[in-house]
Amino acid sequence: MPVEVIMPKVDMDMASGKILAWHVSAGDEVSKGDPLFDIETDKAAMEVESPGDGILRFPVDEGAVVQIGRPVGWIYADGEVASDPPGGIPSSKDEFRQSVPGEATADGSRNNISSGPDNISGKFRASPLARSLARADGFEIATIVGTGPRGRIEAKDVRNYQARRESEADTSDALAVSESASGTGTPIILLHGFASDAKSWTRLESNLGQRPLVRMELPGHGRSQILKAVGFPDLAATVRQTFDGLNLDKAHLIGHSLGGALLLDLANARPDLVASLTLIAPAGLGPEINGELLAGILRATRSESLGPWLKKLVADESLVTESYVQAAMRDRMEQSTRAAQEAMADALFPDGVQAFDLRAALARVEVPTRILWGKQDRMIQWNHALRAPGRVAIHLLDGIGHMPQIEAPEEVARIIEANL
Amino acid sequence: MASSNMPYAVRAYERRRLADALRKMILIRKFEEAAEASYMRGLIHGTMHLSIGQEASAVGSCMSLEERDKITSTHRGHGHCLARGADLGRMFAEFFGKETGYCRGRGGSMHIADVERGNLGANGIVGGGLPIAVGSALSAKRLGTGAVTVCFFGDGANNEGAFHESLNMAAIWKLPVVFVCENNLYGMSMSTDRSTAVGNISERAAAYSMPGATVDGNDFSAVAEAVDAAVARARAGEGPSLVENMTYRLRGHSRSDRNRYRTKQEIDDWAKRDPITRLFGMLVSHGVMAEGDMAELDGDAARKIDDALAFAASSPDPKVEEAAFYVYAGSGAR
Repeated sequence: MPVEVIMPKVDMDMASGKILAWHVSAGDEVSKGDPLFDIETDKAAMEVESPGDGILRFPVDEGAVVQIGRPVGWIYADGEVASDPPGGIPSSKDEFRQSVPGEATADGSRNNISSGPDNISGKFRASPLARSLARADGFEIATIVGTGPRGRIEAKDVRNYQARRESEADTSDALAVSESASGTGTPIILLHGFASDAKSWTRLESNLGQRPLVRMELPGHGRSQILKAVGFPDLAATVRQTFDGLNLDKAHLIGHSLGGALLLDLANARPDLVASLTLIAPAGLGPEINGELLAGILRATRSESLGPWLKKLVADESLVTESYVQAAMRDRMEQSTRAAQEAMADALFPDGVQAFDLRAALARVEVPTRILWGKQDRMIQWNHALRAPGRVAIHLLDGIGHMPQIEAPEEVARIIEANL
Repeated sequence: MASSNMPYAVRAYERRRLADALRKMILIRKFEEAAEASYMRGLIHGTMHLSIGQEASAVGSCMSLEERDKITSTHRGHGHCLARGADLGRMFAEFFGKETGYCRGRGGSMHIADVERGNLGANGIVGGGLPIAVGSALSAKRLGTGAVTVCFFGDGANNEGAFHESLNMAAIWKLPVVFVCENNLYGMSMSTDRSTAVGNISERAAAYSMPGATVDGNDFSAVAEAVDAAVARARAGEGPSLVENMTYRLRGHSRSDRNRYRTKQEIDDWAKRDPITRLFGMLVSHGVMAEGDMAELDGDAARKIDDALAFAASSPDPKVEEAAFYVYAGSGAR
């Protein structure tokens, strides 16, 4: 008679448990006391030992939720014939799946086995609390190292990881950085403009070929944290710090609007590390900026009020679709985000004037530099480009507004690629 | 003289009593294994603390107790109950929440009391039995009954205020009580090394001017020798003693323990010092039992357990409308 392996009750209020992982496969030999499988309850995960010696047969699927006291497998002695599992439990795993929890089976017994709500990711060990903390934070738990028994990832590991991540951000004020998965050659650094984020590069990126991409995000934008000091020198220092943290030998820089001004400052500060500089409708080359347009975007608390202003950023307003506006508004829903950007605008563009001037920096930069500007830009006038020194290439795009990388990604990519 | 090298137990007790002690230890082991299996199947509510591995401490400490004597027990008290002769069926019935249980199914594993056999009760509170034992000993002294109280408690209780107050009070009044500390090295997951200022808990006895002894709690004979001497001293009116039985629970603190604070190696090492195997080996080597007797003892115990489980399973559940009866004194059926 085979030994029944049951889902054990291990907590006072436990009604069922999930099979996280089997330590042995069907057909493997086990000895009494060997680790047999891991279970997860509402409170904890734990290891269950084999109740007997022999061969494991008919284990239920990993991820299955089984009522306490119900069989999850059988241990057969050597030579014991295993045709069907005893106890009227269906033999094929498919049948397990089909059986509805609590539904009576043919022999009248209840077969409370159901598939778990979510698949377990891999066989690494992690406590349920650690898993749920990681899920809530939106990162893949397998990326951190566990310090529990046998490398089990515990809640404190997740919290330490979060604290480390935060303290790194706190002490260094580094910006959020995302990198493309692959690519060869000198990497390209992308920095978006005010009230935008790294997503604004998506259309350009698909036209940019195979170079590695590194996207930075401004403080209080995208996934970067909010910083208290938001004057231009503070932002420039933060960008430098983030760039230094990347430890690149050389990089091409592409910046849009405020991001252009900041990368221009970076190219001036780190001339040896910059391969080329591309400025798209950059700030910092003249005092004028559309303060009304900035204020309109900052004020908007719903898509109805945001949409009309976003349309002013482009020449062909049909590009600003309803769903585009809604997506943009979703990124601005947080009151704290809007407040942070407002404080930033107040420091950078007081009274609708650009409070920083990078013309001297542009005069000093010796790396190949070009400026791209839409002639229908209603945020910053394109004729600011005319203040650049003679060795800077200027590309003026007709029928394009303040967002060339979105409005004409193929054209922008062609210009950039030709010069990389 | 050859006999002076014989273990205390072999010198002190008749063969029948030695066999009986071994039988009780096996019964405790099988009882708890069956309770564990029932718990895993969801037949037992609440939680449960198993003393598997500590059987010599429970049985050895009760060897010289008489019918009039008392014990107080702990949350890990199944062994103490059975050492004092509790009924297996009524204990299982209590676990299963049945009307035939020791507390009519209202108490569960941690509240088994059997006053007729001198068991004043297990206690869910760490150190809760200590003041009760002192009260029991005080009443014995005042009434002149000659009864001795054996107070079981764990290492976790030795840092409770109640422990210190109880030992002090028992000492100043020279009460007939024996404090038996079952030191299984961990209070839940906290090792005594980290929780306790003294190396041996028995050293605490000096502070209360009573004898203290630390013995191998998995050696039935050593436990019996130390506790017998303490009981004799109490019976003679010379006051309390503290005996520390060094032992180990092979299972977790409670059924929800994940054993994360101790290694498998440590558990395996202690399993090799199994008190039942050791007592049986001693009895065989001194001709009290034969090698072949173990199978019969095991079989006997298994049958008793099966009968007790059947009794408990077939016992009636309490009626819902009477669930609150017997919970407080005087709240029983009228």
